[in-house]
Amino acid sequence: MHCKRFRENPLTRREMLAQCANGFGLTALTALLAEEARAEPKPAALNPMAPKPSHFPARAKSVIFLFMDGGPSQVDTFDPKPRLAKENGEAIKMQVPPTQFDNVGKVLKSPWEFKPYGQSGIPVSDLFPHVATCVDDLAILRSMTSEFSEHTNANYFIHTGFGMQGRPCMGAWTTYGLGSVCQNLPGFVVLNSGLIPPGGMDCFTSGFLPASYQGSVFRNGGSPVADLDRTEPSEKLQQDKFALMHRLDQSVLERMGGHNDRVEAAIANYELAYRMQTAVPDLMDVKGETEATRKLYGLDDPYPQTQLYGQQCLIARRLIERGVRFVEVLCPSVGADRWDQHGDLRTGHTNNARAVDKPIAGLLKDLKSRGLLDSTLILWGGEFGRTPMAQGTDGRDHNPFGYTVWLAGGGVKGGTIYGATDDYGYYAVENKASMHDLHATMLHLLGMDHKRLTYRFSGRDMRLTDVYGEVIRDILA
Amino acid sequence: MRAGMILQRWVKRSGRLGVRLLLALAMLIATGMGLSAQPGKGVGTATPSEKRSGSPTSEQGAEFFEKSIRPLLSEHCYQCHARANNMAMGGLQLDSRAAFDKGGKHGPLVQRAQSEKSLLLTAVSYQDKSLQMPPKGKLPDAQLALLRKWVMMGAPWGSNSSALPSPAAPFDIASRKQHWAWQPLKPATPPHVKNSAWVKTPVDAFVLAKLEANHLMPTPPADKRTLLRRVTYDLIGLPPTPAEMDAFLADNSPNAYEKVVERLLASPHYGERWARHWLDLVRYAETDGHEFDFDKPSPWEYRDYVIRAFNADIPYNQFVAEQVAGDLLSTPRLNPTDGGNESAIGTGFWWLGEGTHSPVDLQADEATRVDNQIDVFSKAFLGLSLGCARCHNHKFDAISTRDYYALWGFLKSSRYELTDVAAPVKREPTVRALRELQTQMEPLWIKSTAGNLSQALLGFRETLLAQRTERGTRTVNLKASSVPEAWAKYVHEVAAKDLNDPLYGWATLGEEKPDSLPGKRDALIRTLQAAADKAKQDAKSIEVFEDFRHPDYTGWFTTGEAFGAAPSRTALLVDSAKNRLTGVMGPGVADSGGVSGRFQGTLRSRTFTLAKGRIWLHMAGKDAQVNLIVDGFQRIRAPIYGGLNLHLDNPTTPTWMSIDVTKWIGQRAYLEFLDRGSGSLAVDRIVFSDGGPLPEAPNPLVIALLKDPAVNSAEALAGKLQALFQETDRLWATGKLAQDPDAEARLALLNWMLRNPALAPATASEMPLALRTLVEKRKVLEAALPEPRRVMAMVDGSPEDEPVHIRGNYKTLGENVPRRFLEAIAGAHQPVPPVGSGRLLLAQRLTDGSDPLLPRVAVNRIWQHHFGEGIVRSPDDFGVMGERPTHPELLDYLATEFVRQHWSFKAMHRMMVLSNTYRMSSLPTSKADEADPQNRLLHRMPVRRLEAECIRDAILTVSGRLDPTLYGPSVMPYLTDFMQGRGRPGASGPLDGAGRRSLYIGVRRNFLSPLFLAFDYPVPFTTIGKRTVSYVPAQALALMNNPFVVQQAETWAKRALAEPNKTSRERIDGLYLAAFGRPATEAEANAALAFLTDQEGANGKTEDLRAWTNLCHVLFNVKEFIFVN
Repeated sequence: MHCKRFRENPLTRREMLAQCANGFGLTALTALLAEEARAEPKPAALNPMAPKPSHFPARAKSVIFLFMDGGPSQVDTFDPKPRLAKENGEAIKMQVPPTQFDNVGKVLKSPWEFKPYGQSGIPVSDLFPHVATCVDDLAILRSMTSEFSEHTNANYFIHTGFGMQGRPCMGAWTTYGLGSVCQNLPGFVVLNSGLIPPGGMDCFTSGFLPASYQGSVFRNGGSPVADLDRTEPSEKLQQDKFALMHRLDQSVLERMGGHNDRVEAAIANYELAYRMQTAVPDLMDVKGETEATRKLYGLDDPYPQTQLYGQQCLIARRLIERGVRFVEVLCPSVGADRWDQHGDLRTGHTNNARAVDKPIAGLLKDLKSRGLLDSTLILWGGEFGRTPMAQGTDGRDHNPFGYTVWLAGGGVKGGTIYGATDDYGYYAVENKASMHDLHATMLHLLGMDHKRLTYRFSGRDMRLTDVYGEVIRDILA
Repeated sequence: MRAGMILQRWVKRSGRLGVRLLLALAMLIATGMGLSAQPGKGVGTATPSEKRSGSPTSEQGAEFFEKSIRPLLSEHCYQCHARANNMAMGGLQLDSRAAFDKGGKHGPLVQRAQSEKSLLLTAVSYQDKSLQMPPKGKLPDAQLALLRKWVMMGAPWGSNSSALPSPAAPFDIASRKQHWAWQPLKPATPPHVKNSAWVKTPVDAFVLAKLEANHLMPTPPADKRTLLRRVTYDLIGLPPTPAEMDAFLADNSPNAYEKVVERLLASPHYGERWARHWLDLVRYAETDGHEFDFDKPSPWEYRDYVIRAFNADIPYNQFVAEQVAGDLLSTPRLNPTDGGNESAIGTGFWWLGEGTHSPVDLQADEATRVDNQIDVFSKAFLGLSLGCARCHNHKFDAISTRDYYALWGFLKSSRYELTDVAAPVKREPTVRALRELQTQMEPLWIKSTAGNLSQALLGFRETLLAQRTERGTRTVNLKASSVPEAWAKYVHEVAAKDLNDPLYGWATLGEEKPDSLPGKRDALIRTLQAAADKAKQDAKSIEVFEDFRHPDYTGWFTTGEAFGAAPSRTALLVDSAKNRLTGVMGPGVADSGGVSGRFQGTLRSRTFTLAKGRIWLHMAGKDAQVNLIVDGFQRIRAPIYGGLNLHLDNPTTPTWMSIDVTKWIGQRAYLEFLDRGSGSLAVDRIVFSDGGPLPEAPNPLVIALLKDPAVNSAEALAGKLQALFQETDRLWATGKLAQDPDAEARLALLNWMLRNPALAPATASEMPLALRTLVEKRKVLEAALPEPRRVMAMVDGSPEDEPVHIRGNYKTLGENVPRRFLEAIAGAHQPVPPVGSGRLLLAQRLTDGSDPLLPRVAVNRIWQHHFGEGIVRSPDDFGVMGERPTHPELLDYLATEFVRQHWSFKAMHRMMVLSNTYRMSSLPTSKADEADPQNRLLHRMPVRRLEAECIRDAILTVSGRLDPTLYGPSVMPYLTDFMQGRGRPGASGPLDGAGRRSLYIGVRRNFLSPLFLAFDYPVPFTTIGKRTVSYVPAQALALMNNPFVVQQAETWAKRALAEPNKTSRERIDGLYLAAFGRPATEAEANAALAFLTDQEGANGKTEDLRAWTNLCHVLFNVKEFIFVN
């Protein structure tokens, strides 16, 4: 018998399989299935998704990214600007850079009132009455900036740190760096609530990293994962096919000299795939959740989009509970558009906020009550913000120069405001934060030094933060 | 490993300074000190020492300038005040220290003794109404504070150098060129080996020598079945058929394997397999990606070109030259089958990248696009990553920032073109015949129309006078009148109201009695002269960009035949529906429809700086387009950029049309006139104006006529007018009009006559027979013109160099860099391209054999696809950060042989796959595996997982569904419910991709096939010389549950059952032979039989399709299916 000596590449070996290759049959497979969801993780060197040690002790174990597709307006949500009310309807008294549509209107005051909330007294607009009650858990970055005025570039930028397609996204970098505790589900899951952001699936790509780190996009409704449902009419038939496949695979392995890491890795895939067939339906089945929990997430809300997004937020929690490393939740369609109100700001933002407000607050509270918020980093934000003056008369155009995102949980100092925009809320003028800073901070909370999380590609050690990025220490708890 | 250590050491060494700076910054932020206008809310741009002492060190000053002031100047000032932009409004330039110190017409901007009163601060503070900068609006307070701080600091300047010094060792090209990859090829002779009997091709000697030096033995040869399956996948990407396997097994001749290799190299599927490898290098995709994933025009033409090139074994240096400059080759390579221009298609490679449809900043968009082009160019051909040099000299390699921008110039001087590559040879005779025909037709048109006009003008004087008499009685009854109704109407309703009408004078004076006429006439002359003077004055603020009065297209670029070799003096506008000549443009006109509406071509201007708010074009045409290409931006679309495109639909009347360019003042642009072969376009004047087009004015010939003292009565006036019109008509008829000193005024009169409703019946009369015959003849000839076949290609534009972008920022420009190839390869002193973009020179430099990287990188790629890893295991990076070759002598031997054997891929394949090295088994042998765990010595062949495309193609092959058709437009991919987002095509393609090979499935950037992606299909954004190979559950899920796989399992089962008179065991062997190239072992067959029996028992019948489908499905999932050993 060959004992783990003959290997194609020492980095892809699977020790566990090497140990039980000869006896690995359906019994082993079903035995694995019976294991806990948090099965004993396999050694890192053998499984690309096995948990890996962080660079230093982590504050957060996992991330939920609540991506606000389209770009919510900072001056209508978390960054009140009295000057807009004062000069409502007047020409803006500052130099305006070219905007996406270059249809510059007058100063437009926010249609929503701001009120102080919580012990911190941080003001939040009426768009987010529920999130407002969690404000003491939020670190609000009012000086966020992007480098792109267009959705697609900006979407790639917030997801991958680069404005064009092809780079690995945050979720891919995170699972590449840390693997995943969960071995029955993908380590990086995107919950599609209906709107795929401009730029498409490349927002969730592993880019030049191996395909192992691709985001798995879970569809909303129907079977959430592509090709997950067995096609066989009966479970027995599928088992029979597995059994035959396994016998024939063993024969192949023997023909190849008894061991081959690559072939064994391909065999191991079937285990995870098979386990996913049970794990995913179990994940999606929220019937066991209490009535109170369901209400907390807004599953009983009369607005269908609130129910939908509430369901997704609840599933995000269930994913985190199962040890999934990175979850991104996409926005639901509220009819007109995502947070991209070039016109009729009032209706569009009202509907978009209504869909997500209660579910997000529910998620924060639920995680907190379960003791999971401390180890889960919540990241809320869009690809850019919006202009303080109108586009036309009642919309707002894109604004990458200064906008708001917030973080919560996972080592973040709650009840914090960081940075500021100018009096209009147009440019970040104080403690300007770049996308790379945000990414560096996220990785830092996950216990990773953004400068050391590298992958050699085309002659460079590539990073999520390219050659930039500073950890925003003022918002760390 | 080595490079990694170097990097670590470098970080340690050079990082110290940076760390100190960061610490200082952190302290500053923590202590709340800073430079901001709002004290205590630090912007964090100064250092504590500065705060303490109040006088920053020069380094701190420079740092502050670079970080805060240069970007600000660049953003707000350089549009009007930068040498790099050729802008010096008010004599002021702000992009160099010297120019800043000098100041503008108001003097220096900063008086250092009294900084507070500096001109700079006065201007930006908007205190002085007469001097407010920037003019578009006051700067935000924070930026004002930065400027104030800077001035108070004494306006320290930053680095004037083109790029910041590299943090690594100083850039010394001579020492960096010591790296192995830059060295010339070292011709090596195959080394001596002990076991010389093992050496089949020279490759073996190199491999064996290393093995022997390490006391290792090569692994014994693979069996014939394994070898055939291996070489068939490697060369054509498909599994061998059972018949091919049988034939090979039965062939006991000593050269049986050689015959197989020749068969495979001759197979058209060889080109398909190797084209796909190539497409990975050039980020091949068929859509633009980005937000809406718009289609690229006929991108598959490039894919097919690559397939044909590989099948024809085009010398690689030619293949590369075609992609770099195929449009410029003096003798393009023609397709032997259809005569199409192959070379030009190659340049499509430049345009395969991602594209933005509505960038806010066109210059940034251009920078991104060009960066991708340079990135792919350098990695694909040279195995170098030049991308690093965009912002700074390469940290390790012999690549400077100047190298990067030297290449940029080639691209800046080149343009996008949808070029017609349809058989130029077939087209030319017809084009010539049509031109010849036109030389006959044009005089006939003029003769006929001028003749009709002259007839109509015979009684013109009398007509005018008669009309006058009747009007004088105030009892005009137009119907009953002897005066043509039309003239009366015209004079009363049109001419009398338009100062510029040639008959305005008649309408004003015609009824005057001789005694009152001279007085009125003098007043009229004054009025008309004043109008003419005003028009002349108004025109002074208008810049005439082009009036096409030069004898050739100097300053212009044409493609296709439509616009001819030179502008015409005049162009005839013919209403083809009515067979009537409706106007004459000139005197100087670019005309694409003069010879034939079916001619196609483009006319592009030189690149110019947009300086006035509008571009006005005086044009006529139909089904033709005008684009303004700003900063190379091609994807013109509404709503943001719709205005940059004009569509013509005025074939009979020239019109002034305009493009509003106020948003892009100061940026570079060119005009593009497109006639795609279905229409026509004529343009005779292009002007730049902040207001309207060239103003209209009274015709100078008419004013001159009125000034004639002999015009002292209505009769005289009518007579003179008739004479003027007749003379004009005569000049035209005799071909002298365009040469007339008053050509422009004459043409205006002629056009007035041609369009005058009163003269219309004359010009509309029947076309003469001779002309009709020629028109019919032209139709016949036009039908013989081959349909244009348009492909994405590159053409030359204005030659332009690019300045260094300091830190990669196009807003901060450094010194200009002349276009040239890499200094490390072609030296510091390279000739400046004598004409055009210089791409041809670049292609020559790249492919003339003096560049060692081109052949090394290519043979390494071939090696990698045969042996699993390259000799250099980082195929796209031969630099210091890449891997060292495992067999350097072999690499150089192969590269030398490659060049010697006319850059033939097929010669290299033979050398590699006929070797004993290639024929080794992949079976592990304990001693060698222990000594060489990563197989860097090549002691055996590796086991390799098939690429996504091969897996799908194999499924189709064994199921019998494969449609082996080559070439053509791609099949729409099958769209699952999981493929959502903007730009999703309206309809999905068929589940089985119509049975076509995977390389014909459309590559839509935003809708890449999940099945492919699961198996590491590359995202097409840059050169991917080596795909990742990963194992993800999506692979298992796809092969288990994907409807395509299930569907093909059934197709395969049907095929297997359709073979008559076979036992189940025989059928199982058949399945195994098809899928794995071998019969099933006893144990395997028994397992399969047991499975079948079980299934068939449950279903109650033998040869049950469901049972066999299940078996086939399992075989797709047996791992041997996706591996080659």
